Amino acid sequence: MSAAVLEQFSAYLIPARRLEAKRGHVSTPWPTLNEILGGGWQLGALNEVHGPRSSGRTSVLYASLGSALNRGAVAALVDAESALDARRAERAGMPLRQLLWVCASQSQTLKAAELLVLAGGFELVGLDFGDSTPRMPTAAWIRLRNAAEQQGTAVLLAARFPIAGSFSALSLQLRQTSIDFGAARERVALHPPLVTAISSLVSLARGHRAPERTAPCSLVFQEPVLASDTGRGT
Amino acid sequence: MSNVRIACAYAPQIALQSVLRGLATPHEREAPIALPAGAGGRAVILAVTRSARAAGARPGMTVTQARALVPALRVMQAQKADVDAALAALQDLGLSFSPRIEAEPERVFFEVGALGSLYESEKTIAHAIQTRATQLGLAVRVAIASAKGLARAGTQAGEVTLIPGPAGAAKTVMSGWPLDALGLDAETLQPLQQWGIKSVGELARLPAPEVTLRLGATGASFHRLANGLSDEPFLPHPPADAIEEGTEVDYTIESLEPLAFLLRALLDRVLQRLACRSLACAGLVLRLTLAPRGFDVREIALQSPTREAGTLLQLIRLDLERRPPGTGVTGLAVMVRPARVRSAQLDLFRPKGPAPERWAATIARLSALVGPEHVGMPRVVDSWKEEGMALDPPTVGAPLRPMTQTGKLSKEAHESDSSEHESGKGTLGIRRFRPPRDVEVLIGPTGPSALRGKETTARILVAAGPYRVSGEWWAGGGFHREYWDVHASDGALYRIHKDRETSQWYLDGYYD
Repeated sequence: MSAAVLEQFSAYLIPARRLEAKRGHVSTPWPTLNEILGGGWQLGALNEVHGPRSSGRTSVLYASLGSALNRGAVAALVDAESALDARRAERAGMPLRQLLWVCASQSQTLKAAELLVLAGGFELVGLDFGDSTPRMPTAAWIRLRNAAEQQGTAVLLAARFPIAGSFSALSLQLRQTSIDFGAARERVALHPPLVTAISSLVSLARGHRAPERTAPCSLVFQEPVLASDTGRGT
Repeated sequence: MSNVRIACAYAPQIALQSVLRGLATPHEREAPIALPAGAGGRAVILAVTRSARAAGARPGMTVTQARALVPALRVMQAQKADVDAALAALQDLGLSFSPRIEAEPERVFFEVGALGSLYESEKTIAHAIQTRATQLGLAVRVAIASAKGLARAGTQAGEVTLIPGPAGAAKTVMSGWPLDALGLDAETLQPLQQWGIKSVGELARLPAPEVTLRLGATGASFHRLANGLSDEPFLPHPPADAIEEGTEVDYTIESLEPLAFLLRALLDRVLQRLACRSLACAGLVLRLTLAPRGFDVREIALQSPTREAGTLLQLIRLDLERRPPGTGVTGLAVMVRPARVRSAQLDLFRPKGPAPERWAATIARLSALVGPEHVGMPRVVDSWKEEGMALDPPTVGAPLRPMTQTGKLSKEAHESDSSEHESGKGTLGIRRFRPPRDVEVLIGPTGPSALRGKETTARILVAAGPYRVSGEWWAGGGFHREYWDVHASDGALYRIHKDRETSQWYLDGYYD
């Protein structure tokens, strides 16, 4: 492509970084993760976090929702498998009274998310697809992406495999690196959490910033321990 | 226009209009239709549509006579439910312009004196009333006058009649009207006709004492009316809270689709009436008349008020699919509970949330999509069982948000959110299987050594446990469980438990 043509078209092109900055971000609770994501989950776009079982994708989803809700923003979770553990989510600091939870079937998930996004005013809408990788119609993805763009809502999809493809602006991959049982194995009779932590490696699989230029970071998801738990066992 | 001005909307032949309201398309409504007093060919026709009249059919003919003249004549019976709904819709027409209304059969009176700032002239108000009536499926004549009696007389004189306030000016306007416009009873009309009085103006010119002497108090009252004076008081009354629309069919509906078709028309009418009152539907009761007898009454719960017919129809369909009536349906009625859509004051210090009405509509749509029991705010229940949780209905109006007035995070939320995340740490979540899945567990010398079930089949690499929990034995039907966290060879970290009473193993979920 000649320099003249490039110059001619440059007036009509918006660099990806400027577009990203224009949209704004919903920051995650982890500064290191925000760095990889270029500020956080992109507003007005589909964001994706995927990884196998016990990789921490659900923890990332719940922490992002909890962080948004604690900031006073409006957020919702569309749960395709009704997998939310309210007790743990509350322990993790998620204000449940502020979370709108929608239990939808796999086929209803995108439609439910679209309805939520179109209501306007939602900063973050989480979609938890669980383990399944449903084949959704392309039109449904386009509608959801357009709704998110129109309303400036960040949509965060959590699934086992990448499912949104090119419709997602960001895709984050999680890989479990270790599971720590710590000293819990020796004192299980007195202490409810049997597992201590899961460590995961987080890398950018898709985004406006070239994935190869972003170094993966490590996250540690710890089991919450409350004093009131002690002594519940018999 | 600051003084008292009363508008009267008159829906002539309300029974015929109620039948026309129930027809789905304008094409059907324009067909020649007659309303008989009973069944059979000898029944006398009470009212006919304009097209039937143009073809030669007249009220007073028998059905057979009318059909001889108009072969395409459609003879329809007015159902009581339809007529009641049309009368109620007429009241709603008044309510859409003023909270002070008075209803009488086929007419509604309401105060429009204060509408001067909204409309250019009384003529504009009258046309707005007719337009609103058309939306409600009614054709009305409108008159605006300074008194109720004058307004009533005005509706007899023409489609739109404006009678000026001062009695003298009103008298001038009314002078050319026929005597029928005053709604005289036969006892008063007959002597007047014998005296050669044909118009309102001629009646007004008669000396009042002589009229009173010969026709009594009734005659004197009509004489005053002819002179532009009315003693009849305007007595507004509060409208009924519930809004009901219904219809009956002369066949049996066996499937959902035709029923939904009728329901849609009813819901549209109900919502139009709610819109007249600036209200929304907060819940509805559906009453189905079953064949050969009996009713099926069901209440459709709504999470929040809405005015979307599609959403309400979807909720009704879901309910009907869940609990079919079991037999054919010959009639249906929808009664809605009106409620105000709650308005909310926007906050300078909070992020923008959904507008209350959009929020309500969204909740209603979501409820229609996934079922009302699947939308809400999760809540931890006070139980020793780990999985115990409940779903509260969504807050009406707008979601709750915890913010201090300074716009900063509340201290508690801030503390829970920030410090540990700095070092890349977070809280471990768990994904629950609901209900817990049955799983076979192979027990080795140190505990569980393998899992086999629908969710996974894997060797267990590390098992931590047991952690024993028991509870609710004091309330009967207690539980005794033994929890294990197991790292399986498929890479996942599962939480499993054994019911110590049945020795059955369950897969609760996995850490993620």
